[in-house]
Amino acid sequence: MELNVDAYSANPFIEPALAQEVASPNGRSLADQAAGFSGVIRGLAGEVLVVDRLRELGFVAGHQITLKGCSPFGDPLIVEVNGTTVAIRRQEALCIQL
Amino acid sequence: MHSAVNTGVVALVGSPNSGKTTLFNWLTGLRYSTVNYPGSTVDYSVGVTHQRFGDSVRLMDTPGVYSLFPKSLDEDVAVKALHQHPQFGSAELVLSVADATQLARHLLVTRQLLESGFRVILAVTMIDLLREQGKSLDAQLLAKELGCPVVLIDGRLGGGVLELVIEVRRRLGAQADSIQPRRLTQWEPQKTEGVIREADDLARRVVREDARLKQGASDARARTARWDRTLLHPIWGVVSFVLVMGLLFTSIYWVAQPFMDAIDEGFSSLAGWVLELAPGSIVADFLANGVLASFGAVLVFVPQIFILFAGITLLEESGYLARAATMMDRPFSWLGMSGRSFVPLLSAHACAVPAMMAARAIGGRRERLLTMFIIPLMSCSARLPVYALLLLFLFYGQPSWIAGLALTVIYFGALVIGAIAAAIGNRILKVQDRSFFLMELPVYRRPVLRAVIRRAYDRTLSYVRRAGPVIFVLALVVWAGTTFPNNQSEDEGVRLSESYAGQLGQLVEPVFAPMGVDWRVGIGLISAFAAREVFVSSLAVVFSVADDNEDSMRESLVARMTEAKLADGSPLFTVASVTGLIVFFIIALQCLSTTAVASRETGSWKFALLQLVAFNLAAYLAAVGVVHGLRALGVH
Repeated sequence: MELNVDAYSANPFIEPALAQEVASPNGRSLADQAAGFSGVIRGLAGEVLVVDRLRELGFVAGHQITLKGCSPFGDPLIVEVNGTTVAIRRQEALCIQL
Repeated sequence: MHSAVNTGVVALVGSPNSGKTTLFNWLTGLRYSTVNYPGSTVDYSVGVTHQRFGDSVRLMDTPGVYSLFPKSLDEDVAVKALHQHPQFGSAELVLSVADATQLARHLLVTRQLLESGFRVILAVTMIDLLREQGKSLDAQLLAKELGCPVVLIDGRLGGGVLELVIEVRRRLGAQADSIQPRRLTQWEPQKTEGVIREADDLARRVVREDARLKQGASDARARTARWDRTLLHPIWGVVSFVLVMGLLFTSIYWVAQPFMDAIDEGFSSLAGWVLELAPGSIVADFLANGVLASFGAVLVFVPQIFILFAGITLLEESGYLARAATMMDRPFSWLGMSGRSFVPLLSAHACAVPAMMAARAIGGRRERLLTMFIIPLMSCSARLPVYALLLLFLFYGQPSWIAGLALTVIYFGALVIGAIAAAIGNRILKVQDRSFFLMELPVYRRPVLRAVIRRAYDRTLSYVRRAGPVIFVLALVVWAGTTFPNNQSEDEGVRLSESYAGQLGQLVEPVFAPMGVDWRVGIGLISAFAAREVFVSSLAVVFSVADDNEDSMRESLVARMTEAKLADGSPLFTVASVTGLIVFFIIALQCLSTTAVASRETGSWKFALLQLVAFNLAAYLAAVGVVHGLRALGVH
């Protein structure tokens, strides 16, 4: 699974600065992981609205997170956190720091 | 509404998939009415507790929320209804609904409710699923830690509902110090995290492995994971999606057919009976050719609407709809929308009006506007009777699967046109905001059939209520317009062409002539702006089909259409002109209620006007193009 930064430059709705902020330069976001990955959330970074909703869904630092796979067309990803299964886009997975 | 002991309302609040609506159905015994939140079109249910629980208490089911800080319009409505309902004011008491298997996460809303200053009772649902996992919940400890009463509800059998009602009544009766709930100001991220961690810790302490409970052979989550391996599989997932949707749409035909035939024949014989009762009388003519003919033409497809609504509700309740939306996210994102657009666009195949309302669940303004832009292009059920009639004409006497195949082509054609419109809209829309997609995938559950049927019945009834009066009034207008002034004339052709409608029709005929049709169809197309299906009933009135009652109405209408001639003596309905009409109906936005809702929901009459003008102009040009193209190819 590759980090798809190009998806950001191709997306006109995102400010370039924001894209850089969420693009996880150290390669330690959930979007960089392969299916079957399981680890602990270190924090959230990115646009307030998305990060707020992620947090309310239980994506909180210290929680165990499992990447179960992706949906048939490759995106969104299927993620399990704290007993909840959630589908999120790769774009949102970039906000999840591990 | 039935009388209730409370003057205000007890609100049910909880996350989507918390079992909130199931609990509401149990509490009310499905005796509720669905109402619009004043000033908006988000609907929610208000009802009273069932009489078997004693004195009635008024309850309100609000749209699901993940937190009291709204991130979509329907969450916003839920929070508003909770704090400042125009009729009931602030909720007297709140039933916070949480799923036992998702307790930690669902307790966030409970905490927010308590901090807002509400009197809260926590109803923990799906205790049965928790037991399946071999766990039990310490309700006393949970109540003590939260500082509010806790009632456990069995998700399958409804155990605990009586206890809940008793607790509600007790809390309502205890008129302690008056409460002053306030809307929360946005929490800092640290605060939310802190509350979630606390909730986590609390959930861990109250939910325990229980040695007395043998872990079931398959608990719901393991079952769900197994199902998802197939239903979200790269190949089988797509195959099952196509199968499920194919089954849904074909069932609209084969399941509905017997009911449709029964309704059709019932109205035909009723109209025939009325005409025989008083031959030649103007009243009988009005009843048979005006009222009965138009209602018959429209009610005939109520079974199809019901089945579509029932199918969508069934998929929603089972948990599959969230998967379908997830799968569709990728293709939709290419068009500037998201997976959240899937459900509104699916419901648009029943009716655009509820679909526009369903679009409220889409968080991003841009994708919401785009979705609402193309909703009117989906093949709504009001188009069905039109297509059914026109296809019956085109493929008369041929095996019915050919018409079925043609209808499938129409549906797919509409989807393709919708995609094109979305791509165009994506370019011209000025609103820019970030699109994101977060969708909870609930465990698969067996839907409760009675509740599904009730929900589908509600939706169908509200549809009929909206369409019914319009159809009645227009039937009256069209009938009067085609009957007067010289209703005494023996020659039917003269009577019609010299009637008011005939005169008006001849005025506008030049507009419709390029489509290869005359004023009679023009009248139908104009009256279809009240509601598309009125096209069929207008034709039925214009060609007074109730006159000959040997056959069902649709058949005799087709027979009349075959005989109809243009002024120059050539047939009015040809392959070219009928195909042109079909193309026109695929694209045209002939539904003023849709335009009204679009304007209200977007808060922009410009948007609604643009939609109305663009789609109708495109429809007209496409129809003219198709008619002339076919004629150039030698198809007449």
